[in-house]
Amino acid sequence: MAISVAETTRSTTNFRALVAGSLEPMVVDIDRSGHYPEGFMRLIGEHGIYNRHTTEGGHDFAGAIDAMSEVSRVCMSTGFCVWCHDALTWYLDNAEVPETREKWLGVVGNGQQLGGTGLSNGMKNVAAIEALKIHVRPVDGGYIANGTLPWVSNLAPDHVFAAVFNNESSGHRVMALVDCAAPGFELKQCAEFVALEGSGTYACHFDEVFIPTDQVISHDAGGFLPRIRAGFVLLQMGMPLGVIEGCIEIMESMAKTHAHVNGYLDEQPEALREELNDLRVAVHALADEVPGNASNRLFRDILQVREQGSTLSLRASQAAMLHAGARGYLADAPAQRKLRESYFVAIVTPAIKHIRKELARLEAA
Amino acid sequence: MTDDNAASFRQYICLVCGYIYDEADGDPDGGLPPGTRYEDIPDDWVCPDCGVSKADFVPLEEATKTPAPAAVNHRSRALPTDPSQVVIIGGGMAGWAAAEAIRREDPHRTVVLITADAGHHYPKPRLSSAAGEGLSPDEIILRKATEQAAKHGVALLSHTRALRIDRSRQRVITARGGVPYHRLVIAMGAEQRRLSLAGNGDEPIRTINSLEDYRALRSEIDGRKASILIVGGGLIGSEFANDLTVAGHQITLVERAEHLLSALLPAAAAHSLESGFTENGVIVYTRNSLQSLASSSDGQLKAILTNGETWEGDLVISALGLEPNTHLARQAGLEARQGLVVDDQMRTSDRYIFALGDCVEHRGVIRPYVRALRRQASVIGATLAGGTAGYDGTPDTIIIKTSLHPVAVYPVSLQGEWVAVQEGRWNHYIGDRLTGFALTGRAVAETKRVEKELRESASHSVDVNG
Repeated sequence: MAISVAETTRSTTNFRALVAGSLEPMVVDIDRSGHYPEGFMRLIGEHGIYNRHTTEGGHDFAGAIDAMSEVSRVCMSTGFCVWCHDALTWYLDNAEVPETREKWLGVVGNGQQLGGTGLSNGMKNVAAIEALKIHVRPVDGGYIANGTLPWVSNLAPDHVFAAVFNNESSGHRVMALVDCAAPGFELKQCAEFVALEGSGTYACHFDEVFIPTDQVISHDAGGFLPRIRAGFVLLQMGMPLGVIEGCIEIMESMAKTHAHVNGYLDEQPEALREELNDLRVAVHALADEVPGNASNRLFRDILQVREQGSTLSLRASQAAMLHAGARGYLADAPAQRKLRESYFVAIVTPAIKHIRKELARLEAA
Repeated sequence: MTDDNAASFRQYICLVCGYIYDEADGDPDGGLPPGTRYEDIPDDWVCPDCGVSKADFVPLEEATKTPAPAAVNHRSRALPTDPSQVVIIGGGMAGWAAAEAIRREDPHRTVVLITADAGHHYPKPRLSSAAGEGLSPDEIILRKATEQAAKHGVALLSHTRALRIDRSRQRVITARGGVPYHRLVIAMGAEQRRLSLAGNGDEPIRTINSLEDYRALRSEIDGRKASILIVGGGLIGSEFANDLTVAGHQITLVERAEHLLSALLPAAAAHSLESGFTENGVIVYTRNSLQSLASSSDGQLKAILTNGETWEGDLVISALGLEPNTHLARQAGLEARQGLVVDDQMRTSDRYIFALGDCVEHRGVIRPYVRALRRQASVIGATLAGGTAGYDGTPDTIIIKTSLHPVAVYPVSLQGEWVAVQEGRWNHYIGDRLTGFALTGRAVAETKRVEKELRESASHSVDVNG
């Protein structure tokens, strides 16, 4: 049964209807009250959304990104939650410890077990930008973890997430799944954000937290992280593709009544749509190359497309505000919400500034 | 005229292909005796490697002394959007030749060049010869990408890969965004065929097809005597065997066919090249190939050949021949067979899209040579400017720069037969007509004379046959 439901959701029209019915009514609540849409997150799991880019789903990265884009078009905060969960599924699909893959991939892949990703610190560590913030020591049957990790998203007390730890005895990087219900582990509310408050974002405190072997993704992640980085970054493109689409739709809807003045603005929906189309074609082309490709060449291309996603999001949301005028300035208006969401695309790891620094390194030859 | 001050002889480099004209040596094949000054070279003399005139030569020290600009990222982030622009995909010799030809015919048109790598302008044949000349990889760069772009008035998008060609919207899609084109020129070159074999993967096998590949190769072998296995004894494999031997390395060359350069040379001519190689320490195995390859923990490689021989050494280079890069064009629905199919105006099956160089197939033939791409570029330049020009695919003599034993060959079709004429010279005949030749060793000096005979024979047979 689950398969046939998943099949029907493969069409954009059906998935768009599902998002309109199950997510759209909650959007203001998510944005203004920090409501975490757990029911919706589980529902789309039942429809197979989190399994598209896995081995089981035939590595359909384009399909996973398009679904995330449909969610982000309506609510990018929830689109970000979908990315977190997609990224977690991607790590588990590539897990080097077979017991971990066996135990978790199925339940995470269908959304029964929800979870997030705390890899920002690990990725910055690989790029020599930050030291690892959590430390582990090996014990019988696993590791004991201590430390604090800020800003991990798509979390709740019964969720899990993946993080990278410094193994104090070997100096290796350990990557493992953390159970938010484990003794000694605590989620702490962070200071309020200007957007994405409904993304289940917390600081994670570890005090002698036991991590069993069947939660270890890699005992030595030095080679693992380069293998998953292309998928990690490219999947994020669901957010800009969706938010830009949403902004263009705002401009188009305003044209019915305001074309006579909006025509004087620099950015117009037709031109932005052409650029969005280009961006989507580029993402789909790169999506086909992700499986099994850990090359710097592909990563460079993915960082470029990611940068383009950020800059076009900023332009589109700014334009949506100007096209919407005072109507977009209301507290519940989609235009100003998308403006705040678009800045997140540009600053979440990898931020525009990090991308440019990394591209300068990769293009130095 | 003689010059008693030999020390004052100067060297000039061809900016197109990298051939160096040394006044001390002259170009006896081209009618220039040793000691001929650059000033005294007649205007109708052409570069023996690529066929351009002396105007494309500059003093060697001028070409190599150009200071590299500071590594500052001045790259504009805005993509060019002129609706009348010509977009070129590919920053190799063919891409730059096209840019130059288009600019020559039309000083005003916007020309955009998209290249996946840095786009530095360097003669590709020198990827092999630099090692033997004691030059570092970067010393073969004639002009850094930004200078080359400025010289020809080109908007350069370097480090940018073309991901798709959207023909219906006339846009090239890159990861940095879409670039509209009025006319498109594909100059995507060819890749070295890859080996697939048993053992622990094909990772240790290198192909040398770009400056980046070449830098990596040189950083591994410079400063020591490396033991290198080259798989494939065609043009590129033979030149690498030659140049890496001259640079002091121990080379083993493996060729699957009966003899080296089997697509070009008669067996006897190839055997004389083989002797030239073996006398200089190259180990040559013909009718043989690589069966398996394994690497040990200390990085040493061990290969087993199909004849049972084993080889142990540092590095394996695959030179199995070129495969035109047609993936993107095929995806866009352009007609491609072995190469991307073009007509005499170098047009693909889409009248707005042109192609040239190693990626194209013209009248069923792929000619991955510098002279061919220069002619093709001129045709594109003239056609885009509204003129009439055509490329007829006439072959050129191929000079194989194996300094240990030079070879010149005028390529022939499958019909006809080879006849030994004299020491180091073979003629190819179809009936009574001279249709090709192969010269080796000292006989290479007669290239110009034999070419003339060939042309006379061709015009004679046209007369006879009406």
